[in-house]
Amino acid sequence: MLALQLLVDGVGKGAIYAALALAIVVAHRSTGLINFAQGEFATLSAMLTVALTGLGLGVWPALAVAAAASFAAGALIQVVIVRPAMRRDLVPVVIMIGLYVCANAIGQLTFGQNPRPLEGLFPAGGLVFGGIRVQWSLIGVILLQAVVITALTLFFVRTKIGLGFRAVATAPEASRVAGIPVERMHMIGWGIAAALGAVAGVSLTNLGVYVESHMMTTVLVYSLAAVTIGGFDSALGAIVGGAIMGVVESLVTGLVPGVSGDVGILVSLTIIVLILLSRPQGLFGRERVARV
Amino acid sequence: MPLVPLLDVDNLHARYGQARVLHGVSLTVSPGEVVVLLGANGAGKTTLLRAITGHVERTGSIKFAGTDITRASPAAIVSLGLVQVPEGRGTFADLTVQENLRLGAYTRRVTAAALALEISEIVERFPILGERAGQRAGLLSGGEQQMLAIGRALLARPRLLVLDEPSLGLAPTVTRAVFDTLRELHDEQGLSLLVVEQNADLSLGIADRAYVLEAGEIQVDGPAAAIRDDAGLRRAYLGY
Repeated sequence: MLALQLLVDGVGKGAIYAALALAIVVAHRSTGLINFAQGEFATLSAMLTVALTGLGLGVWPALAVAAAASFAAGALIQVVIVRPAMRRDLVPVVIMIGLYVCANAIGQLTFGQNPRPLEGLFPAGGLVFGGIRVQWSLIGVILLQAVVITALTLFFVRTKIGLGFRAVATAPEASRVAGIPVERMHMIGWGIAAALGAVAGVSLTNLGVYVESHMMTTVLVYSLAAVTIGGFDSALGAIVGGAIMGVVESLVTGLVPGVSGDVGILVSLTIIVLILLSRPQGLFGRERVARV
Repeated sequence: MPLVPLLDVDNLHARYGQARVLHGVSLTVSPGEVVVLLGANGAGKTTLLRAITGHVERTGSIKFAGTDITRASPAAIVSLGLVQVPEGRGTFADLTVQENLRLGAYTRRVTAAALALEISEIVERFPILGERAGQRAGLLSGGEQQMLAIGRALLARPRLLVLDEPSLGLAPTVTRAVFDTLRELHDEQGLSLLVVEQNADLSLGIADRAYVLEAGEIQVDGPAAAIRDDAGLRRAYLGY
C-alpha cells in the first residue's frame, strides 16, 4: 500500500521532471547545447508568477504572462548571449555555467532569500480510494504537463514552423540551402524551452514546494538524468525518462531505510550509469541512418 | 542584343576566412538557358555556386531577375526563385520523404491544399517518391535522393535551378536518368539551369553554353557544342 502511494506521488514529480527534461531536449535540438541554466530559468519564471499574483493577477493568468515573458527572455538570451558564443569550441559550456550562476544570482537579488508559497492552480482536497490519497493538485499537475506536451508535439509535427525546426535540428546546412531561417529556429527553440520551464516551475509549487532560489536544483539533476537515459534528442525519451526518475526517486527515498532527500540523487546517478553502459545513445536515442 | 540576363554575376570575389577562392568571376545565365560550369577539383566551382546563393562571404555584383542579391540572405535568394540543389544533395535524412518535399516550399506562402496538389505533381514526375512518401529520406538510394533533392527544389518554384555535381556517386544509368529529367524540366517548363559537373561530356550534351573555371577565374566560355568539339580545350581543361 505504501509502495502504491509512493508510486502515485512519484508520477507527479516525474511529470515535472519530464517537462523540464523536454525543455532541455528542445534547446539541445535547436542549438546542440545543454542548457544547465534551464532549471534556474524556470525558477525565475516561478518568481515572476509570484510577483504577478502579488499585483492582484489570478494565478492562471499570472502563469500565462510568465510563460510568455519566459519565451521572450529565452529567445533574447539565445540571440544576445548564446549565438555569439556558439561559433567557438568549449566556450558554450562556460557560457552555460555562467548563465546558471547569473540566473541564480538574479533570483536571489530580486526575490530575496525568503521562500514564499504560490497560490495553487488547482482546488484543495482530493480523492481517496483503497487507502491511497490523491490530491487534485497532483492530478492537475500531471494533466497540465500532458496537455502542454501534447500541444508541443502537435506544433512540431503539424505546423510549418515545427517542421522547419526539426529540419534545422537534424541538418542545419541543408536547411540554409532550402531557405529555412536557421537562426530564427534557434531562437524559437530557446523560447519554447524557457516557456516549458515556466510551466514546470509553477507546477512544482503545486506539489508543496515554496518558491526560492534553489527550488529547481534537484529537479534539474533529475531532469538531466531523465534526458541522459532518454536520449538527448528524443522528446519521447525525455518524457519517459522523467517519469522513470520521478517514480524511482519516490520509491527509493520512501522505501529504502536510511535513504532520504538528496541521497536519492546518488541512486538516480547509479541508474544512469547502468543504462548508459548498455545503451550509450540512451533508451530512445537512435543511431543515425544513412545510405550513400 | 539578347534579353536582360536572368542571372548576372560581375567581378565576383569570394573567400573562406583568409583563403581567397574566386578572383573576379563574371558569368550570365539568360532566361531559359542551360549553362554548365566545368573545371578541375579545387577550381572554385562549388564556392561560386555557394557565393551566388548567399552562403559564402562575397564582394562584387550579383543580380538576379533585376534584383541586386549580392548582400541578400540565403532565404531571400531562394524566395526570389534562385534555388540550389547542393553537392551531396542536402536532403533531410531523419525526416520523411513527404516532409522533405514540404520543406521545399518553406519560403513560399501556400495553403496546405495547394501544397498537397503541387507535391502530387512532383510525385507524378518521380513516382518512387510517392511509394516512399512515409519513409525516412536517409533510407533512399543515391539516385532516389537526387530525385528527392530535385523535387524539393522544384517546390520552391525556381526560375533558375542551380545544381552542384548532380551525378556525384551515382551509377551511369542513374546519372543519365537525372540528366534526362533536367532536360525535360528545361524543355517543358522553360526552366533555366546552371549545372556544375565533373561529367563534362554528359553535361555539355544538355547545355547551351559552358564556362571553364580554373584557379578561381573563368578561363574559357562559349557555346557548349564548340567547347565539346575543341580537342585542345578538352585536353587542357577537361582531361579527356
